[in-house]
Amino acid sequence: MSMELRLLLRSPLLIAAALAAALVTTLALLAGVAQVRHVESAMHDAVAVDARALDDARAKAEATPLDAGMFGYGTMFSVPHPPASGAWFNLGDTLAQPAVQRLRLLGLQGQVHDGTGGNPAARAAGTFDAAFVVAVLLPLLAVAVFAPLAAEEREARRDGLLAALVASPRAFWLKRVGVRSLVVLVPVLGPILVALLAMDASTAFSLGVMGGATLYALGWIGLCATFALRLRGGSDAVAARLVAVWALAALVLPALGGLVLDRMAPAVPGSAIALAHRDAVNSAWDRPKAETFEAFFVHHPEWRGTPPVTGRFHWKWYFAFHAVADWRVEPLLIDARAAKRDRQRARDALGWLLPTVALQNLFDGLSDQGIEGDAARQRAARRFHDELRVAFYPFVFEERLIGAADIAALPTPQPSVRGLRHRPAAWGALAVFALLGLGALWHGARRVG
Amino acid sequence: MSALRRTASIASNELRRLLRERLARTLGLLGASLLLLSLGLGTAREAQTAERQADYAARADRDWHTQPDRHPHRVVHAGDFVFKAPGPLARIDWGIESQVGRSVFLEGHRQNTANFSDAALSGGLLRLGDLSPSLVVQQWLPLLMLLAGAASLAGERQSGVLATSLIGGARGTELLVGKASALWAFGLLMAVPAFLALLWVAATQPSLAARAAGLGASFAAVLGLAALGTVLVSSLARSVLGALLAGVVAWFALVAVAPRAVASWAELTLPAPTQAEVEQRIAAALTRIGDAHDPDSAHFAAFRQRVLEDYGVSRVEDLPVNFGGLVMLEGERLTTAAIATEVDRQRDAWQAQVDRATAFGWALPTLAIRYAAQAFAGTDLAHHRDFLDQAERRRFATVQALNELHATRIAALNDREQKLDASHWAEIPRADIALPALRSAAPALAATLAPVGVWLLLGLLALAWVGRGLERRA
Repeated sequence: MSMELRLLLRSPLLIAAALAAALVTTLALLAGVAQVRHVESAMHDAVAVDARALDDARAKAEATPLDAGMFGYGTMFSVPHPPASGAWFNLGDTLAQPAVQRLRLLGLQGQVHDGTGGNPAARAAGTFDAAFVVAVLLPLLAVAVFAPLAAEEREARRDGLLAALVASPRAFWLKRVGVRSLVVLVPVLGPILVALLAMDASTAFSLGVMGGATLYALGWIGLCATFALRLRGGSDAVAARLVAVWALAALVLPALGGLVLDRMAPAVPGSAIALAHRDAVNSAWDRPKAETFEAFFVHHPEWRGTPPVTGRFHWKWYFAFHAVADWRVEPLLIDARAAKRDRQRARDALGWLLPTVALQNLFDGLSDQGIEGDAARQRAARRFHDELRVAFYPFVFEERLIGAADIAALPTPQPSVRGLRHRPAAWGALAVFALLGLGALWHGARRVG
Repeated sequence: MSALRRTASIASNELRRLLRERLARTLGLLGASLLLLSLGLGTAREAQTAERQADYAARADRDWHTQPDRHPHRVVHAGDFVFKAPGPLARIDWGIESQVGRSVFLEGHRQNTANFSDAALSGGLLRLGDLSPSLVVQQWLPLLMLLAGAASLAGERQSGVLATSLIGGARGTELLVGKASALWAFGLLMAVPAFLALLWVAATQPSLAARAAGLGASFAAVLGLAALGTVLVSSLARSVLGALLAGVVAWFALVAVAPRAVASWAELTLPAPTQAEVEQRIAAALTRIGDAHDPDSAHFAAFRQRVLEDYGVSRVEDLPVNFGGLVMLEGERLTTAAIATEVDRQRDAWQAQVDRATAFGWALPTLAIRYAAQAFAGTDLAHHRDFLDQAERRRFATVQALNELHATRIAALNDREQKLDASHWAEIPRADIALPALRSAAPALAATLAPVGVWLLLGLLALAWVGRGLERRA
């Protein structure tokens, strides 16, 4: 073993590759942590500003109680959507989503689909995080390290000597592959392990990240080493073929898969829901008020006995038709959720074909990104919006002014709850990939040349 | 034989080798089919989006024109939708389109943002990399060129052919220029589907011809850079493997790491206001102005005095127009300006981030081409902003036309109980959104592309220099 290690340390190319990979991994980790800190501070700022505005309103109400309708119309609340605890490792959609969902008493579905995360041009460039490095750079490193595995022996005309000297080719190659694997694993997984410890990541997350990355790496190592042992030709020809395989499997096909997925499992655009909501609100202005209230009282019978609206406008009518519009677009929401589940299933299926997609699925589950991450934002918004409506309706329906104490008693937005999900399909696909890679290597290493 | 003839013959020999050799031929076919696939999928997706948008736009149009008799201020709040139609070049380079919404709701007193992009929130696989035809040409064809061409000089050196050719009378520079030209031609051949698509766009929509030509030139430039880079790395490396690995590492750094890292760095070092911050600052600014619905605020009291003086009357009731409508006009003017200030701060900050990233074009010419291609296709941040600005101008024109109706056609007495005949809605301006002329993007494009010219020149100089060294060593 020490002999192999010394051989390894004498190759400047491999050492340079390992150092470069370690550098890129470290930069990606630092970038991820910095981005998460940035989002968190923006989130705290936004929450603080809205809290201050609410304090100002309370101070004003201290002097003279406020018109509840006007207050409900104009007061914004920030529901925090903090980055998931593993976002520094896998940013996912963290930067595309808003760090706070600002809400007021109007219809929820007219509010949650509008907005922007950060700079769309930066998003289009792609995310630079450790998950990307593991998914794409690590296999490239494996290609560079293993392409010359057998060919360099042929090129140095040592293959005949080796065949004569080596008693067990399998033991010989596996040992060499094992030692060279260090050059693939250590520069990428080393900094990640340090980061996991430094960031005080949970055991489940750490094990998931390290386990998933290791399975993925083993699959690639097995694949590359097998190709290198079995392909004829010089190390350059082997390398050219392996690079083509890497580019296809790790980058081109996942991107192509994404395009196909867009075709096969199209998302229901949020803009369609917002548009339908807007339609419902707009038409309510022109419809008989009794119709709106009938629909509203189905969900809130407790206000059925309140005096009817006879004038042109009343806040309770206004808030009622906003709520009714929310219920009216509910079928679209159900469709949208179903479409997202379909898409998730399609992604899981694609993971069985493309290990890179499986790895991304696994990381997305561990760090609550993708479909579930956005669902968490919408759930938190919905929960707070419901609480706010229930707390608010007494003032508009009983036509009471809202005082300082009432404002203080309003519900406080709770942050979205982010969790950690295991994706059995992704684990399965990665395990199969690793087994296939190692199995192929076991088989391919039976001869010296 | 003249130098030119010799170079041409070297180039044609090398191209013939590339087209005959199995590995190179496979790679070439791979590149062309990848491009075709991406064109097909991109076109299909764009067509699907365009169809859906046309539906929505037609519906918004119908909704606008079938509005019943209403008070004009009700129409202001009922609002209107505007849609971005990125055009056929977006099928070749969709730039930031998958990250931005393409519809904006236009209403009074507010400047809404575009809706969330669907791709960004729907768990797509975009994060691993996008695959527009333009990016296939910019990223994948260069890699395939590298794989096919890394052996050209390093291989000939290993096998001794290089020394023979040089003894045979070929100059080193001619050899390198010939090989680079052949490799460039190989790249251009793979890119034929993209060039055909551009030609088709230029032929069917002459207004886009200049943009299509710009994209075509960008493609040719990036493939030229790839050819120069490959030949240089192949002639400097000691072995084919060394050339390959050095080339792939450089390619990976340029294509996969640099755009992400640079964009991320620009974003962190030049922080832009978040959406929440923009909204909160707008709210604070509007509080300072006072509500246009509240004619008793300080600003509007002064405004009333001015109006009374202008019309030479002493009471609002004696005005020949509806004062409530005038207040709406004035209020909209003020809020629009205040909102624009805050919204522009964010958009300026975003553009500054992009500019900072683009400045890296001097170090990374591929990055410059990436941004330039988006600009030519009309799918970069500046063009998106232009869309949002056009939408905002349309909103303001629509709302003020309605406020004019409010001031002139609605009597002040019982203002809110009145309705205007629905025939008025057809007269309200609702300008179409148009892709700006390329001229408006030209100065920025020239600045973006300058480093590409410099790098191509540097590459050629390096080729000449390395070529002379080649002769000395041989």
